[in-house]
Amino acid sequence: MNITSRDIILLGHAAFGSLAGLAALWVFVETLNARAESAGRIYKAALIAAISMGAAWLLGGYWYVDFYPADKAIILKGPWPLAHSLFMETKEHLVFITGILAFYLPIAVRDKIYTNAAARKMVLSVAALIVLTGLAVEGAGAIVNHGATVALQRANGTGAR
Amino acid sequence: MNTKPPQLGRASAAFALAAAIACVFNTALAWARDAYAPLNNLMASLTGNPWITHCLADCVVFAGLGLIFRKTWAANKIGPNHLVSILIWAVAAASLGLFAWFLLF
Repeated sequence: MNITSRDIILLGHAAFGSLAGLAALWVFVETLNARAESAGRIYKAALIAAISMGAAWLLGGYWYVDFYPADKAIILKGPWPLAHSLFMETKEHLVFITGILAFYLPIAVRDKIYTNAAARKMVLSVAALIVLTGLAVEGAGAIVNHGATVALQRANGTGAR
Repeated sequence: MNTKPPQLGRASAAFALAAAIACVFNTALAWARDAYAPLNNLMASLTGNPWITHCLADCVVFAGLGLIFRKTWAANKIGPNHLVSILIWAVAAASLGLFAWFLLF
């Protein structure tokens, strides 16, 4: 088994992105029934979401700039060019929106969400938006991956029916 | 008895409005880069890759506006429910705007 730095960067990007989404989901669930005792836990979960998203950005950005151009050329020659021209193009910009929301989450949870209904509503909304946009980004990543797979299968003469 | 409706904290309100504007800015910049090659080339010349410049621009807009709104209390003049709506609609419009742009053009 040959695991390259390229593999580690790509898998780390996906893992940190998933972790950020799970942490945001954790914030959402805790906030539904927020109490003074859970405020510290919610803040920690929000920090995990922000830090994980930052790590996913850095790793994904490095991979996108250094390694993706070769994959892009393969995808565009394959049977699923939309995997790049629609899904990757959308993903590479949508991830900024998820990131901005994740960086905002620790700020939003600093309000007393267990007594302040307005603050609770803001935190619930932001956490839900992180989860939804994060799922869209993860799904787009899977389509990009499949676009490269089917292109390589066609190039190698396998997978064709 | 305190009848004052709950308000968002100063930083929370400020950065919520900044986040909404940064999300819309992000989509507008993506459209502009895609439609106007000289802008994309200029952004590429700044950091070596237009995507990196785009990322930094979004961060500067979010952090910069957040700090300005925090200092001026500008976002606290907007009701908290209205601020939540602004953020949700900004994220929805910006996200769908990206998808629609790359689907159609």
